[in-house]
Amino acid sequence: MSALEDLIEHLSRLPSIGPKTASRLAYHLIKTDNGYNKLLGEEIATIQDKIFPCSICGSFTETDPCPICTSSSRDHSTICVVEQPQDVVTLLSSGVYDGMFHVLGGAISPIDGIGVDQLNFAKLIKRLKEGSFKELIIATNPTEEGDTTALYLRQILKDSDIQITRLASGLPIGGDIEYADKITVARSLRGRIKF
Amino acid sequence: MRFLNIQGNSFRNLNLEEPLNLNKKQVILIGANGQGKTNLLEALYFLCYGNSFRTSNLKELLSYFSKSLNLKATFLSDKDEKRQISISISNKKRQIKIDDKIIHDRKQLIYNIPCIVFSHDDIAFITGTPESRRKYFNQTMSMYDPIFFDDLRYYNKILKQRNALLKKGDYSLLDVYDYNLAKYGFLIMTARKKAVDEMNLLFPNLYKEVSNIDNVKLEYKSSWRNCESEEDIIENLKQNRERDIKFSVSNTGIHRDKFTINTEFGELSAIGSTGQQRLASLVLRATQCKYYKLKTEKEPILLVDDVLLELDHEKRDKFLYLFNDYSQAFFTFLPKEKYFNKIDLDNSIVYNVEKGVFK
Ligand SMILES: [Zn+2]
Repeated sequence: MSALEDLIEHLSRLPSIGPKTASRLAYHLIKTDNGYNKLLGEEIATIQDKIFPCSICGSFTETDPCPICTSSSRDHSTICVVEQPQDVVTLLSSGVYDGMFHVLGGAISPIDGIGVDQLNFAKLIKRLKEGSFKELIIATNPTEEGDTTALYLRQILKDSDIQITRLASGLPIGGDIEYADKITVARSLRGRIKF
Repeated sequence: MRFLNIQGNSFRNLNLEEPLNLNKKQVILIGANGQGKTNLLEALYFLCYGNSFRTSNLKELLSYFSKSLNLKATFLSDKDEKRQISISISNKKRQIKIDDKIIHDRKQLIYNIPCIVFSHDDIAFITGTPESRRKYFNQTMSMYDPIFFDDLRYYNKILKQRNALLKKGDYSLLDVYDYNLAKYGFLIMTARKKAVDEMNLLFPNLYKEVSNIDNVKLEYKSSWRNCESEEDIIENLKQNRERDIKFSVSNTGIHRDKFTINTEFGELSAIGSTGQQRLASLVLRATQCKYYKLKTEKEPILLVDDVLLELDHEKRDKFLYLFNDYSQAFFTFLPKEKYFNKIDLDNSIVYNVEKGVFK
């Protein structure tokens, strides 16, 4: 049954899916209604054509530039720098923030081979030069990597006029937002500190 | 705080299908070598900290032909609540549960049951490398201070990143890492200074009581000499940068700090007799207990593995009397050995250990 083995092996490459869960999912899919499988397959196959990173800010979008970058009701003088596209969703869901975003695509970590060149810094610098930003909020994760990334940002923006702040107590890692997290994020945004 | 019982299978040679009662202040394990006394101490330690004091290879903990192991203990918390802790290894993976809730960060485990092992290897605190002494002080301080533990973890992460940069020859981010290395290094350095000062109120007296040698003191020599602030450290790192680049490694920092044990005539590691050194390593462990109690007002659990063998009976009793600061203690002894002159038998359980069975 190599078709089954292949499916299990491919499912188990998904994050937080181990071999046991993968095989349970695979058996479930065999038994399930055929229409559902077709739909799921189609959705998986076309997701990358429909949703892609915004060419300006890097958050996931169905139109380019994304609705945030082109919004006329949002504040274009504040920019929030995050590690991952999921972090944009987390911050949006707090309902407190109405500015722009910039997704770096990760955080600096030389032991993992991630340096400045592997991340989206160049585009950020360009945006800051060309835009009319007054405040930059650093919302990297409260980890060693997130801290280092924040420190690097502070270093390269040392001589600019932009006010730099950092969330007092980072984002919940992973992007799964529950009610309690929403409050934390809102509180964290309000309580951001001069950095 | 104490263990009430332990149960499990496939942990080395231990046969604990039925829960083994441990509910006394002193638990005395008597048996010839290789019967499983130390294995029980190791199992208890494993439940406290999720690792072993004998090996860093978890596979060694499995009994022959086993691919998995389970250990479970009931303990009385410092708030006198009955709680359960369990650890299993299967498919080379470790799973830790407290009251049936899975623990993901070892930090959530290690502050539940503070335990201290006394073992022959402790002699390394005196005669071993500077690293073994750093390990002793790191352990002593992490035990009562989760923030120190966190800072140390963070520092080591930055150090690794900084060394990776140096190896790669990428120096553009060194300023950023220097800033953080100095920030956390300064916190650790300050905490170490304070701890050594405070431990010097305990160690010399304890050592004098058991050895009759006066004025043996602990000393802390920071790698960042004459640095009084984060700024001083950043300056120091700048001055050493060329050397760091040359050797592709961070040459200064709290990972290079030195601790020494000094007598009036020189370092104990150089001039002490083996007996004096062994005694000092034992007293360092006793200091760890007393210091923990001083800081937390809680008493740790002791796992005393054979080390009392080396003391004559007078010293042994004195020792036991001197550090009464434990909530529970496990002692191992050889058969037919007279273990203590004065022991409170009402508060003790004695087990004879043979081939992993406790009777
Ligand atoms: Zn956008």
